[in-house]
Amino acid sequence: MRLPSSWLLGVAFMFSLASHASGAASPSNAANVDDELIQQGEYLARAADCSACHRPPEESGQPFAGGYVIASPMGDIIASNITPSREYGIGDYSEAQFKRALTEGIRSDGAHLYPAMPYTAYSGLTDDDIHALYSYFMHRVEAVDEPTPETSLPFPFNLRVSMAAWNFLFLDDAYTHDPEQSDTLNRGRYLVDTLGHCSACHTPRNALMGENSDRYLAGANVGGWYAPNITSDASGIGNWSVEELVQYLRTGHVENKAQAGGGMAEAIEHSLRYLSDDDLHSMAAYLKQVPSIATGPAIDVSQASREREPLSLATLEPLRNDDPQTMSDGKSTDGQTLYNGACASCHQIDGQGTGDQFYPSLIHNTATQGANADNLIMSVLQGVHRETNDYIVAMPAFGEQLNDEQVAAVSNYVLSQFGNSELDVDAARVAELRQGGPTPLLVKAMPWLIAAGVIFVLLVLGLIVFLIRRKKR
Amino acid sequence: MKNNAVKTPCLSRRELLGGMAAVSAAAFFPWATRTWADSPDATSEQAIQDFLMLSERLTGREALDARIAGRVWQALLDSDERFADHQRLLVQAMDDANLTDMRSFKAFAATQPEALTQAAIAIISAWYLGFTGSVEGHSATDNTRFITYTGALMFEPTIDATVIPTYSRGHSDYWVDPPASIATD
Repeated sequence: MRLPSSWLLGVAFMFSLASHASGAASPSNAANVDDELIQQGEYLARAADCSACHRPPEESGQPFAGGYVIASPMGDIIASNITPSREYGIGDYSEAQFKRALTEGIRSDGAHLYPAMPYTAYSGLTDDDIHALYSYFMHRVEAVDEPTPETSLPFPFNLRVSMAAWNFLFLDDAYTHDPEQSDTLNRGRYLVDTLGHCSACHTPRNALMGENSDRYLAGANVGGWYAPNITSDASGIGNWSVEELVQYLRTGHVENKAQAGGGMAEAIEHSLRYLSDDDLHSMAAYLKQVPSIATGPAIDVSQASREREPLSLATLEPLRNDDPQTMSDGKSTDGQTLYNGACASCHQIDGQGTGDQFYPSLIHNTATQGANADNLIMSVLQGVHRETNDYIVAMPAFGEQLNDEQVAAVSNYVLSQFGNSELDVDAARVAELRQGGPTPLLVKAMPWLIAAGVIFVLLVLGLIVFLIRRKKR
Repeated sequence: MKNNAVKTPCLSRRELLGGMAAVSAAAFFPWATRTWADSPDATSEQAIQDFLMLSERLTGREALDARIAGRVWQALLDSDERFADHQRLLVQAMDDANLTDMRSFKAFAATQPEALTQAAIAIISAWYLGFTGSVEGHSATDNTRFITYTGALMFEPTIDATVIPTYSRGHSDYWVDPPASIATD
């Protein structure tokens, strides 16, 4: 009796060994599959530019640790920790909860996210891509067990539940595959609208801060910078070739045309430069056929000011007072003096930039030839930082060295000598952009709306008291 | 050159400027009161044109900038009250000697008074250095006058390989790569 049982045990043991052996083989297979999935997720996370916002405040910090302050017109929004930390990150999220956060803007605890997180765009994510993203964040991103400060916006924006009403109005139009269109255009639209969430910056917002779909990609103000018209109109990117768009998306630089600064430079640094050539071509092809919306005269900087007479050296190098006292005066509001001191060493005294155009021409340049000087002002104030796959662009910020009058003066010199001389910059505009751009109507009107609400409540209370007292008589 | 009616206001203006410069050197007047111009108000186009032609002969150039020429002329007039006379005599002497090739300037100069040679060198030096006068290393002010920085002719011969100081030649760290022309230099 014992023997058989021991035999059985032995057989069972053998089986268990066998199953262990096959079990040992299957994880390695699974790891291979997962690795591919995880790499796909990493690529998608790049395309969606998650790290641009969910970064730590300091450059050296861990990726996706959060804590970075996103300045919004409603107040500072603090990027959350999206590492798989169970306590502080998304470690406890199920894939369904992860999907809900991405596509509906609702956290695992049921609270609403602010639309600084572009869930309106991500709502179009395919389930396959969400699965890949989830796998990447859970298995490849290192958990950072550190809290980030809680976002606390002023009343009434601190009521996260109000986002439910906002979502009712603006969370719609998720991406769907259009069988009528080519694969390239479908892929381009998915990259532009869903992953890249380009419209978050390039589409102007309405009074309630929702994207104005009638002006899709027609250009908008973002934190002082102007995200230009990228529709197929000539005032947008109508005069750009597909190859130029691809080059711009990859490097943020197209010779004699445009350079990326501000948020676009960040998008290139963190996201677009990692995309495949095919994907960039798809994006460009899609953008080239976005319905055109005119926002001003055609911009063709390759033609712009070709006819312009080259400036005489005597004009570019004026005789001026060169006694030590005047030379050491940092208060000058003479645009030319400021330009020659601060800008000319790179952009050259005649504004032509260096021969290799690494320091770009200020003449053939959308920042100076467009209908709007905001990006010129902002690049003077904040400088430009852009890391590409091949080189780093770093224009210093002059915001702390030059006051508003000086920034206006040097901008006006550049515009009058090298750019669109019809534009005029005043110190008030510089001050406004320094503060992050014009305040949206909703924020400006909020004290009045709150006051109106309080008056309304008081009136209702008064009416109730009145009715009760009348009843008592 | 011009008749006295034109010349006299020039001279009195020069005296005024010279006097102010001397006073300001003693720090009684800030130089801020001094107004700069590319060329004197009372100068005729012809006077500048004559000076421009002489400058082109002396430097062996086809086309120099007329407005820069006005600056050089004014600066040299301000620094030497006999300059206009020397200029006139120099043109005369060069014409008489039929001097067309500046490589024979040394032989020509040997036959001329020192003052004329000095006037010629002052003109050439202003175009090449981009200033007139002499730099005094340890002084906050000296008698130099700004003409042009990037337009100074001294930068031309090596401009394919070297850069005008303070101006960038190309992308960051461009200087780690030797200039393309170095093999043929």
